[in-house]
Amino acid sequence: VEVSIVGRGYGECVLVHLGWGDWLIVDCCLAEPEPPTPYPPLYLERMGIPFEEVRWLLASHWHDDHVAGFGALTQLCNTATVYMSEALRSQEFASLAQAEIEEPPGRIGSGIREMRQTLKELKESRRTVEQARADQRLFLDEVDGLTREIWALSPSNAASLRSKRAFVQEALPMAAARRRVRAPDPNEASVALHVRVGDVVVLLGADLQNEKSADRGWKAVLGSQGRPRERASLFKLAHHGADNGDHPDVWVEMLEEEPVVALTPYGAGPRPRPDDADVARICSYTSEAYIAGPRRVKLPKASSPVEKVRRKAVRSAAVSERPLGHVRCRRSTSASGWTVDLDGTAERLCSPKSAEPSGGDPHRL
Amino acid sequence: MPQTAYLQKNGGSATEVRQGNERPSVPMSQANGSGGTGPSPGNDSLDTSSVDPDRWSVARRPRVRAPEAVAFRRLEQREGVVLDIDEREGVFRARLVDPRADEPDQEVEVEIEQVSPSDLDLLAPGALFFWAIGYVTGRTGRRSLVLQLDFRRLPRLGRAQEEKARLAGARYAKEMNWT
Repeated sequence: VEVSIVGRGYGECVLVHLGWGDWLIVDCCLAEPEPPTPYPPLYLERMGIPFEEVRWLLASHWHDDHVAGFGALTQLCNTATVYMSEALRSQEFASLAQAEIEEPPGRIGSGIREMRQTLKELKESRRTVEQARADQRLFLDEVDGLTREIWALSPSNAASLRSKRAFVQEALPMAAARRRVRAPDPNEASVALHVRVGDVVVLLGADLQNEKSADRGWKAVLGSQGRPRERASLFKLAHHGADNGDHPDVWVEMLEEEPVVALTPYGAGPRPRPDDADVARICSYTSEAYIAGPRRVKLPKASSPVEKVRRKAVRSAAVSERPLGHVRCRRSTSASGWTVDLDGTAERLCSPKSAEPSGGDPHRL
Repeated sequence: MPQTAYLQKNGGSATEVRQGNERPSVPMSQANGSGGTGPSPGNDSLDTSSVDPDRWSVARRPRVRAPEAVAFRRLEQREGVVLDIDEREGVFRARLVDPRADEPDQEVEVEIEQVSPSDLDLLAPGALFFWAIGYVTGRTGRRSLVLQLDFRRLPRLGRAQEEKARLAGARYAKEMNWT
């Protein structure tokens, strides 16, 4: 089993090999912004893996840091079954994506352009789109006596309904006003996954957050009677390790003790994630935490006059994009621990508690 | 030439500064032609019939012109999008993108007072703007360093087009068997 978590400060994707040449790709991010080059096909090519081995593609939610390049990915992996969050596979989202509203020219776009291209590609190639929602098994089989399954743990019905309403009532008017479209809370409709190959269980948290209401977010997942009960030994932390994506009961009820944890940094926003408090919290749960990219990047030096104006007009500034980082975790179904390899700017998040961590020291790819 | 004629009271006579071919000024006491006694009794309106237009003039305030830029030397250029606005803190948060993609994207908190009053109504989440820092050279040759934020005024789509989008979405969902 291989799980790759890739990030670049503004962009995230996850590649999972369930063994026997079956790959799942969750979301997409770019290796390079210009020209826009999706990362997953580059990695597959580098590893000599034909695109036909990608059996499932999933758009966990609609945020442009998770869907950049997804349209091109669906074209390249043209035999894969495409899954989307129930909120996205809806008439409401199609209205938004199909709107003949040209986004203003320039480099700033939104996930809507990407999703429009994806839906167009899917329709032209006569492919179906499956929906993913809470407590739904997306895949089940048995190979060599090992059960393989993929479960969607979210979004809940309540989260999907709220998102669909927001697409029509809030996002579409924004598009009509020729502003950059952004749905208010797409994270609550994102798809967290439970992937199992034999005894190896992986929890992929997407950007699922804690919501006030018990019928959405992690509270809904924890309260569900229909979700699988096996605990995961590897966790892709939700929402870039932010406290609002972390529910303490997840560590108790859904994860093994001292799990391997991987996350991607998020450079945008008033508080780039994970911040120091996030790191302290994560490292209190496990010492086996890895991050796909540096937490902080220095602002590039500008000329002295530019700095002078910025000091006066700008209260704070941070680089939102970072060089790409890749955390690769591998485990044989008969082995007891994960082997972690780091590539690019990926690094260990916590100092190890013992001289010999459970999965061994990470290697550079 | 700017018109800078004005009157200064000086014991019934005026010290006049005239430029160009402006009309000669008249002392204020004679301006209504009634010996300085104000409007005629029984007539509330100002009677100007006896004023010789050639001798008539009003005090003009100096006209102040905004220094117009004659040149702008750009040092930094970005495309920006407003992410959110914190009116209490007096800032808005924006993402800045280098159009040439040479520099990484940044997120900044900008003082709202940097937005010109005429653009304030455009300041909303999702609004797109151009960001430029550079030297602006005025008419007088004076050079100053400025941040220019130009919010894009894009034509809003009508309700009909919004409705068309809804119908297109419904059609797509039907064709894809989503409903």
